[in-house]
Amino acid sequence: MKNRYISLLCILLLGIGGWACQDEDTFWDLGTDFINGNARVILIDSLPLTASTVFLDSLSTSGTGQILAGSFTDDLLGTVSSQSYFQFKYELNLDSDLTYVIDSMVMILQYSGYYEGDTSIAQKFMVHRVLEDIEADKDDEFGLLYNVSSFEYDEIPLVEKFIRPFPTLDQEMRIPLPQILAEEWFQVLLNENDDIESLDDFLDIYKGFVLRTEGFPDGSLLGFSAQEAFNDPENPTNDASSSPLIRLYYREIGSTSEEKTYDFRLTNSTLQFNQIQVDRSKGFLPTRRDQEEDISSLLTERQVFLQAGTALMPKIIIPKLESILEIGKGVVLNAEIVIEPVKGTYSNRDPLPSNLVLYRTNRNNEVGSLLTDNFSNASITSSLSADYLYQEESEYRFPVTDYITSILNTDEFQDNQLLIGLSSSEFRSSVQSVILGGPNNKSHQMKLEIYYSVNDD
Amino acid sequence: MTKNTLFIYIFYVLSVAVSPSLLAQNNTSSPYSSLGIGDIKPNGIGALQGMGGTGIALSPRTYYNYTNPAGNNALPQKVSLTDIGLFYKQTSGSDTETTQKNQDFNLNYFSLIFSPKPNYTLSFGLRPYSSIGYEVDILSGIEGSNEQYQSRYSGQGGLNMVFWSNAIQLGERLSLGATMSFMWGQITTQEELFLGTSSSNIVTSDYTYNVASLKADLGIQYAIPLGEKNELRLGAVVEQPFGSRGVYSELIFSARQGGLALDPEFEEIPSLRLPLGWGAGIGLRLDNTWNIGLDVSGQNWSDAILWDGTDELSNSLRVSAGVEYQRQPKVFGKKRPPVLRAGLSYTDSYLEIRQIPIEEYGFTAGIGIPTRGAGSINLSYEFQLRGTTEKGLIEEQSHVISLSATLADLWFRKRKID
Repeated sequence: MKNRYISLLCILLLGIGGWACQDEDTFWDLGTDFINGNARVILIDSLPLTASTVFLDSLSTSGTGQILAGSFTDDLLGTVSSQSYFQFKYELNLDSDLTYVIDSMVMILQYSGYYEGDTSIAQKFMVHRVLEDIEADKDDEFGLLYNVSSFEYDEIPLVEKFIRPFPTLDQEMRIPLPQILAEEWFQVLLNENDDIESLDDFLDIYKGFVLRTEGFPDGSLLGFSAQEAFNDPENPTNDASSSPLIRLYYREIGSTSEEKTYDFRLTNSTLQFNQIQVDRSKGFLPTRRDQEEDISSLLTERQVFLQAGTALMPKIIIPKLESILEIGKGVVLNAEIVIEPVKGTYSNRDPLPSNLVLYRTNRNNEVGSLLTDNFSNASITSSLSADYLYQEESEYRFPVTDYITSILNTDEFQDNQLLIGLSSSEFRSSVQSVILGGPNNKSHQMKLEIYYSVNDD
Repeated sequence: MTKNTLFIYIFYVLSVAVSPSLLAQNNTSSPYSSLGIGDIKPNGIGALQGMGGTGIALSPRTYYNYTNPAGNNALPQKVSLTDIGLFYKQTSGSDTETTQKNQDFNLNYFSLIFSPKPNYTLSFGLRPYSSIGYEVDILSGIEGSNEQYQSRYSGQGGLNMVFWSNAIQLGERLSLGATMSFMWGQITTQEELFLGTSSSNIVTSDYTYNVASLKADLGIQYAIPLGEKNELRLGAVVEQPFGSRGVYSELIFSARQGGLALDPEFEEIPSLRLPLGWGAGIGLRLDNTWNIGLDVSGQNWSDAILWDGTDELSNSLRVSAGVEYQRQPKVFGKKRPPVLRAGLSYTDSYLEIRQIPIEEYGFTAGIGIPTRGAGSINLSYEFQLRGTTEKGLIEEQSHVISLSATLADLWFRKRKID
């Protein structure tokens, strides 16, 4: 009898036990008044920063997939002009037994949608023939062309045309080419030019074109796509639509007359580049400076400047980061560099670049590796909250927890120098700019926020 | 295999299944256990729980008396006993705003008792000294900002002891007892800081204290017969820990860094000192049917020095009274009837928070079923009330069910008939 009771008890207790072992996940707030920890969290946001603007000597602009042509003026950054170099090729010959009538030839450029400046002004677009071989400097190990590279071209343009661009409404910009060029190229297609037996011969004679504007510094700078169309036998329609083209219109005369076109397409897209020139006499920056030189934000009204294409990069140093260690040993929970764009230098129509990135640099201002996030291994990008209405709350936040932690862990305080930029492709293929408040800027103060947990013993 | 042996096996399976590391990880859920050395486990475990833990001047015949090593000479001689206890505790803690429920279930103790000679009882076993278990989430302000961060404080562990106890009977009236215990344990407290909602902005600090100490307990009981069926008994105990040593380690992890964020720290705890304890009791046996006891005991916590430097501890005092009733069988040799028990206890604990002493009241009732041969199965229920909701403190109401079994025949008796 008794043992039966005992067995019952055991079963009862086992049941209670199993029930008791279930963990309830709740916010336990009993005892909050008298349980004290050793750690506390401090927000450190008054560490001094120094900021400056750095002029890169050159920036590679070749093979970016973007043709930049035109010029515009920014009150603070001056006038930026770009002219773009590119080459065309032919692929197939025409049947020379037939009879043809040449109609016309047109350069067709696809708008990429990117532009700067005032597009309401019609500008004089000019296409010139390049007279020199477009090629990288033999010393350049990557075979790149730069924003400061240039090649001789025929001063007399092949064509000039006033165009008012609609980069967001229109698909393409069309520039008619002279009839004489159309005839020359048609001869090539019919294999009637004894000097041109191959594409190499063609490119030797037609080395390329320069697309530029002139005389309208307050106009706009436009982006056109520069995608090379690769012949894909699997997929013949793959697609030349985004490529710049020279389209030849002609008629084939047989029993009937048939209208036809022939497309000369972009070739050697890695040699397509944008030569970008800048005149800063209007703003308060010098036009050129050595890359090694830091232009302190104190000399530029407590502002620093970022401009892609012309290669201006803000530089940040945290001179007294080691002073954190004086608070006590601890862990960086979160660290962000907070930077505000200067009011009046952006608008809905001239928006802020959405993603800024940070590059490591050194005393000579060489552009090093991108800062990355230890967690995802991806490069860190700033988050932007944009206040276009009042322009007072806009800010970029750069998550630099891992960067700050690694400096504190390795004691390498001298090397904490950073350049602010855009991603490499954006920086090389546009002239986007942003003007940022420096460390002592009254209304747009640049600062470093560190949430530091300290363990007091 | 006897039925008792089977029962013990079931007991083991049950205990091991529920509490994998047996006593090594005591189960407690109370924010109060974050203070001092945690919840001190009273000595009055086992069947004595039914009497409010009263037993310094009692000398039971069918179960082991943990409150006084001298109180075990009435156990059956030439019989080995196994004593094991389980408990289940449900606690409802409240402050002025919230109420929170917790449940604990644990193997409580385990010991072996035998009498190699007449008037000499020997025992050894394992039981808890203190236990820590809590988890609290706190929102705190970030210094230099209006923002807040969440932190989770938790702690677990406690001290256990293995003991070796001796009781001898000197003449008709005097019993002496001595226990030597080795106490050891690990207390781990953890702080987790969460900043925002990102799972990477978490810093975890683990503080671990490894502590060991020896403890000597001495006990005495003196019986004064009052006629044939009645007896008055006086008892006293003293316990003194010594040679306490401890090692402390601090490990700080960062989720973002995926490991240790700072160099770990290991150091010896310089001046660890656990307190002297004392106790005195009066017991009365009436008509061989009633056992009545009254105990007063305490620990000098104001002299103690703990690992975390806590020095705001106050001396503890415990007063308890209990009664036990067993109807005598009318015919000799017939099965003994069940034992009924009841008790009260009051404890002024060693904690004093904001000038408020943390006090505890207990009301218990229990039943003991004698088993064949020697020993008993004991079940008790206790209602505990601890603390107050004043000044941000917590009032805890607990229901504790304890089951203990003191069983003969297990280890040392040779089987005569099989």
